Amino acid sequence: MSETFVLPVGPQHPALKEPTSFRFKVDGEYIVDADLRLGYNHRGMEKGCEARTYVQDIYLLERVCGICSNAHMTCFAQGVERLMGIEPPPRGVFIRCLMGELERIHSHLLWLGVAGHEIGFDTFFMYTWRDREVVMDLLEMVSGNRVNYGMQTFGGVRRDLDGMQIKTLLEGIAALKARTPYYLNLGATEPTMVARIAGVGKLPREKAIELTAAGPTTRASGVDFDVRKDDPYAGFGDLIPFTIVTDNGCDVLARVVVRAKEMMASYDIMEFILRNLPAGEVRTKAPRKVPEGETVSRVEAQRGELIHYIRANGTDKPDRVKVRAPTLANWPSTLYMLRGAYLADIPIIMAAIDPCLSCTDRMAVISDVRGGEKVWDWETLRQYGIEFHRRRGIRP
Amino acid sequence: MTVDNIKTTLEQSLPGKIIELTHPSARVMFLHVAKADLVAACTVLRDQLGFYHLSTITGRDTGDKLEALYHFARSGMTLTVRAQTERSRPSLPTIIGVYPGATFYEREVHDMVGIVIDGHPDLRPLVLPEGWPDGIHPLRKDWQYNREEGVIK
Repeated sequence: MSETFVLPVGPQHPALKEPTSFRFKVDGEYIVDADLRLGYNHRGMEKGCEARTYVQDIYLLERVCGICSNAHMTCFAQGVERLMGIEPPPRGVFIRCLMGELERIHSHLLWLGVAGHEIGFDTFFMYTWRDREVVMDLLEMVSGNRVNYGMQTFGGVRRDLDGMQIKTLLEGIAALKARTPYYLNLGATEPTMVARIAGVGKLPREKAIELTAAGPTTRASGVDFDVRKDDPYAGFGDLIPFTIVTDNGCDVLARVVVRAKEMMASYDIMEFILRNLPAGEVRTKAPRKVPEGETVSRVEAQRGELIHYIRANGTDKPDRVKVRAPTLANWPSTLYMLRGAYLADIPIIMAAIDPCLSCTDRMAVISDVRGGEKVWDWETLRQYGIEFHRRRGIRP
Repeated sequence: MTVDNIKTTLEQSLPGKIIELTHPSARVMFLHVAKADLVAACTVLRDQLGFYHLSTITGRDTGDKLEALYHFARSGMTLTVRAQTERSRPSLPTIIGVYPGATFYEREVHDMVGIVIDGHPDLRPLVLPEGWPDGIHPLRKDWQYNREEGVIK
């Protein structure tokens, strides 16, 4: 006999940025349907931007997200630069690109650790987060901050690199470059890991395109969509060489592989930047007012395509700023992946898009098959997933 | 595909329907069409010009009208389709038949600017909180949030 019931997950998690509420319709262990409710942390930033000057806005938009703060800053800065008709000097462009890649490394290492944690492989989590400290220290050395670096501005970057910093950066990158193949090998071949992630969260290529997925999620489904290639910015395209990473696996395993290989590509980009850093200024002077006009600015953030629409009305305040972060682009495909999946695979499928949330700390089974009512938190769901797969013989 | 190719194809496929087509900077284009031609324009972009990706939809209050900006992307080009609607009874047709990924973006535009998306199967609030009053849309220019003045007694 088949009977479905509704399982709400979320929305609150006090520690994380973007709470989201899910409602899963489940039939036994299988998810039949999934629905989503956003907005629990809507801060009205687009409206807020209209009331502030451009210089205030760039710092406001940096705080859209703690992990991709530099991506938001870069995206807004380059869009406004385009409207102002100014261009950063070459050294500024190179340092802008370097910051983006350093941020990508820290985010991907964080993600690898979280993915390991969600499937109960905590050693993996400890290893990647230990190495993440290397890149966090580099970011702190360059910008003075571990998060919200405040490096980008209109017309370039706000801090220069000296010889000692370049040397330390190259050493740090060399250390990470030696470690990353181990993670790639572990993620792609370690039997318990593969048993939990291979074939899970399938997203076929045509569905990835149809549901407008972005970032590593779509590249792991074989779509060569990367803003660094499609709409080159910050020196990509002509100044800085770049290779796109795709995989045809279409599952969580492919997303692990894509992210690990992307890190290797980022190390090459950063080494190129540091060895070929042009001399000169890092920023040009930008006007206070922006001429009337509108533009669309895109950046490949760690999680995928980030887009800002900026409309200027000739004053020192924008008329309209629209921000679309990559997580929203990936929700329709996540709902697709969850349909038909095991209840126990919710954590890893949701973690696999690297959402700007892991918000689902509290969940309630409102109509249990046995007639009772249960309240689960995220940790219980994670444990449930690990135990469920342990009974099936997968023992990390 | 160059800017000229895109222009030629659009002019051939949408004869007399292009209100404005601009190319303000490298790899950025804007196309303005009437509300009735929106779905036709989206179909041409997807089927003939290879714009396989919808980045997002921006809702905007121009003062006397409301407009939605559909940001499409393909390798080497970002093209934004602009469609406007009256303020008195704002509505635009849905494009989920052409781009199924538009569903959340259309709901967001409905929430924040108040454009009713005709033909959308599910226009429940996506980002506004439960209990938010009907007919109030925060991204319209006439909506201002005034924080209550704190009083020290």
